[in-house]
Amino acid sequence: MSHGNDAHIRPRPPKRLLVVDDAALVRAYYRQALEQPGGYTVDEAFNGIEALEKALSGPYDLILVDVNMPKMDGLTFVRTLRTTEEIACLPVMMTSTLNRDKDIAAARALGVNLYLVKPISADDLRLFAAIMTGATEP
Amino acid sequence: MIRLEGTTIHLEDACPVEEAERLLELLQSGTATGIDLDGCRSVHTAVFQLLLAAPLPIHTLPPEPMLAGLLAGRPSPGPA
Amino acid sequence: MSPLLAQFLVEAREQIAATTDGLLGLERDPHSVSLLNGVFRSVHTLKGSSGLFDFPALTAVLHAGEDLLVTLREQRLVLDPAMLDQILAALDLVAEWLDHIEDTESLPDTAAERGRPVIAALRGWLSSPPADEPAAAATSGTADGDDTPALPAWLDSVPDAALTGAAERAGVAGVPVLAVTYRPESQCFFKGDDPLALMAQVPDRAHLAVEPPAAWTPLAEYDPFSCVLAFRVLTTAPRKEVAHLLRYVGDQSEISDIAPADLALAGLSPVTGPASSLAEPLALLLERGDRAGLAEAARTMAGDEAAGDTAAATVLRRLARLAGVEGMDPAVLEALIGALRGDDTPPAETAGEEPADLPPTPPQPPLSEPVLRVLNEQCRTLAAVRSAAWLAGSIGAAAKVASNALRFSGRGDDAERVLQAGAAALDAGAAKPLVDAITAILNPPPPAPVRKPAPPKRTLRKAAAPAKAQAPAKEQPPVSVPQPAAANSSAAAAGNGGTHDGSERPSTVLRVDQGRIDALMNLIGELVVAKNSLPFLARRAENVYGSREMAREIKEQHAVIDRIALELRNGIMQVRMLPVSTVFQRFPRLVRDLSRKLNKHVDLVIEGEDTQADKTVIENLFEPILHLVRNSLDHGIETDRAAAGKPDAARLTLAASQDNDQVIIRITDDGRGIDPVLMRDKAVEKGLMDRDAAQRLSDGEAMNLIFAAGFSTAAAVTDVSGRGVGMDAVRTAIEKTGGRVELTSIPGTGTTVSLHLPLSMAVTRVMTLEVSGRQFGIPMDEIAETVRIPRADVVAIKDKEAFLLRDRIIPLVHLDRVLDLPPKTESEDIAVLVVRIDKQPVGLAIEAFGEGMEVIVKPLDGPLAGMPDYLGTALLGDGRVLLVMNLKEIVE
Repeated sequence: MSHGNDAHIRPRPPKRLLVVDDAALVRAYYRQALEQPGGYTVDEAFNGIEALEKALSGPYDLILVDVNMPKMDGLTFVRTLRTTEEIACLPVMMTSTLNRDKDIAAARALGVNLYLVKPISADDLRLFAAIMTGATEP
Repeated sequence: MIRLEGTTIHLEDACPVEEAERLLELLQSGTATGIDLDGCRSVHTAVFQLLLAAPLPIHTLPPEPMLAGLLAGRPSPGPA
Repeated sequence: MSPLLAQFLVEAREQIAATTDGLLGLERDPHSVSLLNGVFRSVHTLKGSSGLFDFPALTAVLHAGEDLLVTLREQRLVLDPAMLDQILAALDLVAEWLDHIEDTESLPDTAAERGRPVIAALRGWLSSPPADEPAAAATSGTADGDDTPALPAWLDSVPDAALTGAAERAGVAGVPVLAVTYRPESQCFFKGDDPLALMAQVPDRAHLAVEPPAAWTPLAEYDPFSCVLAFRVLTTAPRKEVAHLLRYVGDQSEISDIAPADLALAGLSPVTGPASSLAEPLALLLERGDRAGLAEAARTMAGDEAAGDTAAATVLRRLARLAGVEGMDPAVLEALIGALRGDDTPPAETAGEEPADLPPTPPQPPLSEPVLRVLNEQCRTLAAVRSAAWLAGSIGAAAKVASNALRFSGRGDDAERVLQAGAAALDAGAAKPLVDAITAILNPPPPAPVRKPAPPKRTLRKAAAPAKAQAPAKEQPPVSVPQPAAANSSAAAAGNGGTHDGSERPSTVLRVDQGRIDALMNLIGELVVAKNSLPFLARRAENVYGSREMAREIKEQHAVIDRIALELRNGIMQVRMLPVSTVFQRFPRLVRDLSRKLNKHVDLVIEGEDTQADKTVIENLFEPILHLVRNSLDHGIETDRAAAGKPDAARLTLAASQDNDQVIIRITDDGRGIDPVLMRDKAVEKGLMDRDAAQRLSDGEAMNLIFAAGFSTAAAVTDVSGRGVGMDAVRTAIEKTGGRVELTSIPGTGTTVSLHLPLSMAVTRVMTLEVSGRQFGIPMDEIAETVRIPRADVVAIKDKEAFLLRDRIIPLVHLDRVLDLPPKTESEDIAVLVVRIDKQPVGLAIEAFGEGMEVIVKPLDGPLAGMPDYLGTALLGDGRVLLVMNLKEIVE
């Protein structure tokens, strides 16, 4: 009886997410929020350069990326991503503590698909990840 | 009041909030194949939203027009 | 008084008691979630039930309390003792009002005035508003970005008939239509809210729709008591009325004004084709004021010219209908003609790809706010991308995300459409086709099925009226009589009172009018008396009619009836039993207030509150215990405990236990105890006895002087223990109910006062005795033993007599002399009844012992009422009346 409803939340096949943040704690938080209930596969990268390498070895369904990171920041990463043919169309969720209009506008101008201001609750994280990856396929 | 007759869940008279639990148990048990609201006068929101979530067809809508209207437009949450 | 109101009063008091208990528990254990939830539920239930009656001030006070508790529960505030004081004060006020309601069925005239500061105090804690409400974030997601107040996004999904109907009413009246978006908080059911029922009460409703959650929780994890729905309503009722209805959920609902013209345009698809040319002639008719002509023309055009153009046909049909309504605001008609012209429709920029394709689809699952946000975001991003270098990537990503979001919402067809539009956009090297496709989904044409708005239905009440309101046996003001099985009454109250914790089952607890129980009790009393006549009958059978056989049979029957009567009596006594918790539960609050007042730190420990005793006994316990507790706090517990080498927090224990047919209540403190030396001095000083007598008292006896009339050791009369009433008042009160008081104290360590009370007062076991040929009764529990002593053993000490019993000298009292009855012939032996009076044995010389029996002692009335020598009268089985003696009075 209940399998029909289960389908609303459980992704099939498991969606793969790439979490890009220089803070190990943030990555661990995202991993914890995303890995267990919905069964996402979560990979981590700690800056833009590593993220690009990982993305190229993909495939990923969604990239969650911070703005401020050493070596290659989030905005540069997205611009590079969007101009690298194989991975140009990867959905990107950008997360940051920056909440000014111009920060958000800068992200939009690079084709960021959703900009969320930290802190983000685990529920929101899961919800938006599910929406952006179409995690519930009827 | 909520009761199971055969494989049909009957909702009758007024179904107060605590009956949501009973309805949920019936739905979870998997023995029911349909819902009958023929004798149902009113349902608490808790029961109502569970009716929306229930992956079972509603055989008979309640006589009360507002409730019937809301349930008639229920999107099927079951598997496509 | 209506049975419902009577029921409310009983339950409200229970809820207040439960709440008070919970709050005090919270003070000790501020982190207890279960206590907080319990308190919250009690207050919610109380507020909910109060809403059934017209007690606005009372409901408002409770509502303020509830709001404060909500913030505590959501951990937005931390519990503070001062906060607790204010909640308790609010409960006091409510309790006071309940009394007033009981007397007059209304609130006092001053209620609103007195409620205001209490509400203000409670609301004061809430004054710092939470930084960002999730509700605000949710609604801003749908706003179109400009500063004008946004119309609710869902307006466009309202069925045509509902929109037109509302526009018709509003357009004539020239008032805005109200769009209500109500997102009940998930825990609202616990507050007694029934959002659906509330929405059903919205007056003049033109439309009601339910917004399901973005994703349903799987049944296996489904929480049946978490509200996940949102509601959308259109109404032409005045805003004031709607706001009043939603006053308790104002923070969860939003009411927007929709101008009639905006309403008329809602849900329309843009008209692009040749039908636009129809606008000019219609505008001309409107200008000329030819409404009938306008309606007629629009109707004709809808049928002929616009055939095939659904968008235009919809506009024309709406125009035809509204133009035909007398008094219709011309702005509405102008707006519609403008829409036909294709210039001014709100979704004008949506040059939808193939609008004709969309309408016949079955009703689509509505999109949740987060999904709408994601979809909107894709349009914004696509509009913001400036460089061609990453435009293609951005289009691809946005198409993916948008289609995923639609698939997430169960709209596979739309998802497919968006993906196709994305491909088209990539081909064209421009985002527009994709943006258009998404926008078309965000602003869909009205869905096909027409839901007829139901007539306002006001019979659905708020869930707060529990099913219990229909409980039987409520013609008279009920008294709470829990069955013996119902343990602790405060627990029972919490369980019974909360309708929303799912614990309410068909109740096995009856509420019965106390009068009925008393009537039963009297009947049983009469049965017992009638039964007692059987031995007399047996005797007569034997002595008068000479039939031993008959006498034996009567005795056998007597034994049977005796057993049944006993069981019956025990049964009904059980019904009258109340747990002592009904008294004890008032003390946590009292002790808290008193100890704060005295600035002493006191932990109250309550034990054995499940112990039961007869209602009459229980009801007479409060005052004496209160006095003892006050005394302990005031005099027993030291002000500077550190100096006495004791922990700062003093310990006061209220313990109840049952010992055979007695209930024993102990009030124990770990204070300074009673100093026997001081007591002796005091007794001498007060002239109660001379120094020698005082010195002869044992320490225990000296301490018990505290119960002597007119004895008070307190140097200063304080605010707490009151004035003029000494411990003798306690003793008197307890003895009046047939109990006794004992005190033990260890100087420097603490004091224990025990109250020994009969389990039941209704039936008394008495022993009959004969004095000068007359029969009297003595309560059996005062009798220690019966002995016969040789007259020679009686010794005279001064003018008193005494005798020796097991090496102990016991004073002897001749009842015939005391009662001024003629002395009987002196026999060799004297029948002596040894009784205890104030723990002292006293011998009563009587003529003959009678038999033990159970009687109902009725207090003396009429001219005999004031006689202290007798407890009352009892009717005997042979019809005689037995005087039951009050030995204490008689002997003294």
